[in-house]
Amino acid sequence: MLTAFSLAYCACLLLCSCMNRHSQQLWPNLKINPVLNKSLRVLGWLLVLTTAVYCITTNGVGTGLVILCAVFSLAIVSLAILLDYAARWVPATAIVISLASMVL
Amino acid sequence: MKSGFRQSMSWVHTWGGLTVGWVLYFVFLTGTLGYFDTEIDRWMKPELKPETASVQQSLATAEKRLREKAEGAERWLISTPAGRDNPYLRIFWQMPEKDGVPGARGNELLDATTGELLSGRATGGGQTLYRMHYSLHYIPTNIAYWIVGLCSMFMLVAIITGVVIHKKIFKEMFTFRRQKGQRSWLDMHNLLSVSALPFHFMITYSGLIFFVLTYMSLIVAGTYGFGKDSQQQFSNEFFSEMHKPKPSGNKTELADLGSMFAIAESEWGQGEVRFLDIDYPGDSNARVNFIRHSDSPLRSSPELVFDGTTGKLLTEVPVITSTPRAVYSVFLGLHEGLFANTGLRWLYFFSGLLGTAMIATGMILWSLKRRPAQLKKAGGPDFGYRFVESLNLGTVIGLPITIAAYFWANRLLPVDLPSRAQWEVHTMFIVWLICLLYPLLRPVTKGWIDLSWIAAGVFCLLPVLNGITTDRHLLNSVQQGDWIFAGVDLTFLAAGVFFGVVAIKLRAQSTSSEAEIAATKNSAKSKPAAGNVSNNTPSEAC
Repeated sequence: MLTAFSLAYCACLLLCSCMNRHSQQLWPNLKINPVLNKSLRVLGWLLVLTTAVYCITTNGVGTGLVILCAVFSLAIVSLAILLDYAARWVPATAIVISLASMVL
Repeated sequence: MKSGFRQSMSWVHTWGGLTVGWVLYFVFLTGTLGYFDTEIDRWMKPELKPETASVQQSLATAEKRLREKAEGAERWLISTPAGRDNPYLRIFWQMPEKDGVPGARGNELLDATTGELLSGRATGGGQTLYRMHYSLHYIPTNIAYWIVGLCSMFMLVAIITGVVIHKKIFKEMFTFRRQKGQRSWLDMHNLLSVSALPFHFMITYSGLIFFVLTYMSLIVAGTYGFGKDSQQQFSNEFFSEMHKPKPSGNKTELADLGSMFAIAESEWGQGEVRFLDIDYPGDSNARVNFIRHSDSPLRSSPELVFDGTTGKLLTEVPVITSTPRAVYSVFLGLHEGLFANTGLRWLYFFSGLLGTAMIATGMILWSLKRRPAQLKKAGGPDFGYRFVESLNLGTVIGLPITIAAYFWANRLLPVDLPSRAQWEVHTMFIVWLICLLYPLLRPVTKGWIDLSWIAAGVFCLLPVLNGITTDRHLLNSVQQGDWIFAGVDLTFLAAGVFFGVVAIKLRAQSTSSEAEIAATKNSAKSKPAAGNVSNNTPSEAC
């Protein structure tokens, strides 16, 4: 479950990194050129796909799809709130959640 | 109604949502708590120890009790204690129909070791809370189903129109801008709606599917005709029960349930049997059906059918018997989430909270949008506006206080009080009534702060009350690794902290807007021509 959440969280992070408003919140000093922007978007969607494949292969189609929707709900809400209150922590939280999912 | 497609949809979303918002908020909140119904049951009966009796012992106890209570029954059900869903031995019976009068039915929770009724205080537990989300309370069940059904229909319309009127679903998926007044509330409403959109749609649609035979009984009647026999024929065909034999009328002893249970476990594995469904116990045509635990959203599960007199395995009913039933079963399974493990159960709970908060933010938005115009009115805000504002306060913050009161009543009402379980519920609704009437005593703005503080207090003190009135205080539970008890206590604490933060934020905003009003008044005094902008009605607090 934690692995599915960390994948969903990272996917959402990549997807919002290629959005104007959020990339400025996340990386205020970084200028994201169009090539990088497109790569982030493709990578983000690939990670969404990976999350889906992971959920389905580990839990079956039915339960897997339910988990997929649920982890994305949690990821979107937590990311949106963190982006507004503490955008600088977002990359760090992604790293911590990913590491935790690998260890636990 | 406004012209233009999107404006029309917006109108439907706003007014359709507002009309049923309070009932939906109640349904969503109590339904969300239903995901932890057996955990709440356990918290509300703190005297009970977890069941330790073996399966064989449980079956013998159940059979003995059922023979005493329901000899000659049409049907017995036995759920042996196993796992989260069945922590204790449960029996159910249905007597046969006599002269057109339906037979009596009943169910009991038993101590599997002693065979006595499960001891502990009388309480409605989590089951009563959970049942409220579809059958409400104090009104006949059939009427409640229709009320909840109509509200769910409005909810479905609100979800679809919400998607239509939201112009930037993907672009603003991660957008939340705090401290921007109405804009922040709209952002939050959108965020809560879009992030869990599949859940909101699924839960509403499947909720309607649950009672589809009540809501759309004419569709069935159109094909099968009216009358009891037609309904029975439909039910038999839909639920594939045509293979079931009729009772012969010859009395024969029921075969040993324990041996059949052992065969079922050797087929499926240990702990896989969810319950036993026995048709015509004591008749020579008795059938004992073993139903397996479901591990997927498909609610129906495979069954093993035994001959009730010889104890021989007759057949295995597959999990999917027909496509319409499978579709029906998937929606029901998704709604109930019984297949969910602990992690997924928490995610279900979280999604339910998102839905509840979505409804709350929608209702708050309605009054916030109209507030500036209402404040400018010469005679003060309209009655309708004040009514909605007061109902919002009494429901959005009042209902959580009400639910906390239910838990407080569980710990404080005398154990020997007659109709104790009913009084828990009465307490709950009396407290809700007080919360609904509270805006009559205080301006709504102050009311929000007051009730938020009260909610924070009652939730934060629940673990303390639990510690004082039982031996299962939080530290004790954590030390013993009793995560059900600790989990419920910690969730109360989290809810208390949440309402505390809400109260602090509301007070800060109220203070700053009061300062603004004072500044406006001062400037108005110095420049009389500018007119009096402010009003004595509550300032914008949310």
